[in-house]
Amino acid sequence: MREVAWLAGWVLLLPLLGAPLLSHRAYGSFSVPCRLVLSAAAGAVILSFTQTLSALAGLPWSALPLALLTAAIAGSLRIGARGSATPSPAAAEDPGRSLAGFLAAASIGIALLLTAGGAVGSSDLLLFWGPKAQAFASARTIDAGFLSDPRNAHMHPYYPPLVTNLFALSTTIAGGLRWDAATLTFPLLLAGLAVTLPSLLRRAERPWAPAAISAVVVSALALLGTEADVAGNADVFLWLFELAGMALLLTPRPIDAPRLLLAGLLLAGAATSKVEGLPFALAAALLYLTGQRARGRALKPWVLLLAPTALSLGAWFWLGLSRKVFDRYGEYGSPFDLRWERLGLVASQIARAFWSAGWALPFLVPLAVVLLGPGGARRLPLAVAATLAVFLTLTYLSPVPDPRLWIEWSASRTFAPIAALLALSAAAPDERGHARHAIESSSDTPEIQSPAAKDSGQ
Amino acid sequence: MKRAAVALAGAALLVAFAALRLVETRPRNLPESNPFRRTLSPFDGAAFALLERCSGSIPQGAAVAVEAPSRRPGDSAYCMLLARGLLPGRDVRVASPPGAPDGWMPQFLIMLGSRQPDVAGRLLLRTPEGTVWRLRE
Repeated sequence: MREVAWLAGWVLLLPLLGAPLLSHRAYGSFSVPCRLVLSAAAGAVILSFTQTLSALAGLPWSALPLALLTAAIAGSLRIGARGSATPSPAAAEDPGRSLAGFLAAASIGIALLLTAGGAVGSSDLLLFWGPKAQAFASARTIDAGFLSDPRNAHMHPYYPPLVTNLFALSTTIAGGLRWDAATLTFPLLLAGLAVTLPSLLRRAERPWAPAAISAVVVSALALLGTEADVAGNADVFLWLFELAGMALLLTPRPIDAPRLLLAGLLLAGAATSKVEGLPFALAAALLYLTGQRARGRALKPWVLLLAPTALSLGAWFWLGLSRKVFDRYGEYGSPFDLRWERLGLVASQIARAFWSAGWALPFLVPLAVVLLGPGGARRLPLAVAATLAVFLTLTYLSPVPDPRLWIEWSASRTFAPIAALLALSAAAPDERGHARHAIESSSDTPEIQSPAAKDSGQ
Repeated sequence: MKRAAVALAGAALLVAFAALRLVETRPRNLPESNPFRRTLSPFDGAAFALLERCSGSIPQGAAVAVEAPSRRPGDSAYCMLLARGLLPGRDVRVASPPGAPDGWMPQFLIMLGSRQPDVAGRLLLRTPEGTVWRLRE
């Protein structure tokens, strides 16, 4: 029963918290399940922010006031979401939708069976996510004393707070941490991604087989997640925030204010889930906005896309500094200390980690979809994937005594978003690739063209 | 439909490989409720089972030493970190011989595996995953 109580907050409470924002008519073109998941995601980001603010203010956490404050912030964000709404294109036709849905459901089912069977529980849940959540739930705040205790240094005190905050609140509601329920967040969030992506991609600019691409993303992440034992850790949170955020940025240009704000919240979710979420959020926002000539010069898009990350992480670092717990992402060292002579070793270890995670198929299949699929690829996801790959490789060049074991147990899951971004880049090809694709298809059997292509007379 | 075929075939391949994990047999004699009973890490499931069971027997603030089934120092250090997470509020360290230079004397000893402790103590709990000992009153 406690397991149900622990998870109930995720399924019932979080969508309610984000609903004041997601009930905005600008989001009405998304499917109802997609809207519910996005509502929960936005609710989670704002809830974690209010928890951090409460800790800063010295106010002990209490579920009801936190929920009310979160919903009030979500409601007030509707003001920021005001602006000229871009009409959504009609949903694209979606070849292979039924089979894609079946494959995504099968992936989630396998992830669920393996999680429930105790086969993919994450060591990190036992080592630090769970213990930190227990300590925070017990203290009813972000326990600075616990984080600054030298004996808990292995718990990475500076790791961003979203997952710990949410786990702590669930622990408070359920009267204790339910480890098995915590591991079930893996199939649960994977299912969230599976219902979100097709709906977002169908509204993308020049969409191509949204359901099939979503199935590739979900099945790749399911395989990587089960091979890397991610159940109960923060990677799955990161995947949901990053990929839903990226899919939103593939919507028609110029993206209207409500969608930019939602994308900004999702990027903040990524940045406050894991350290590598920050370079992702910065790369996605900067590359998107600088790629939009008119948008890049205006201030409002920058604010909508980056302010949620700045505020969320700003509150976290303010807490760390004011309580003398941390002042930076400490373990990452200085860029001047990188062990460049290890580049070959690190590259080979990363390749080995990919191979051991399903014979590298979760990376090779999305790559094949990009290379073999028609219409080329969208540059934004590829550029963000490249940025992330560089960041992660540099991270593994940190001056640790021996990076091999570290890479062995982490590389396949930290690089997982790159596999998914590859697939997303094929979901909405750039204009030139799309034009080529349309010309090719005109000499082919009667194929499905996106509404955007039809509108432009291609 | 041809255009989606590449993606769908790839997704089907990934699902098939994920399904292979379902037929893997990694039997562990751990309770069905243990969410780590079949993970790749050799210690997580056993440590979780033993530490969850003994947590009620070890009071807050107690000094607790932990030993892994093997004598490799890294294994004991890892098990100690697991114990720190699962036994909050206790002073958990790696077991060291009595009279070690730091002068720290544990009140409880948790031994994963079937080895016998090198020090005298009263057996508090024995499970297939290990034993828990009271070293001094």
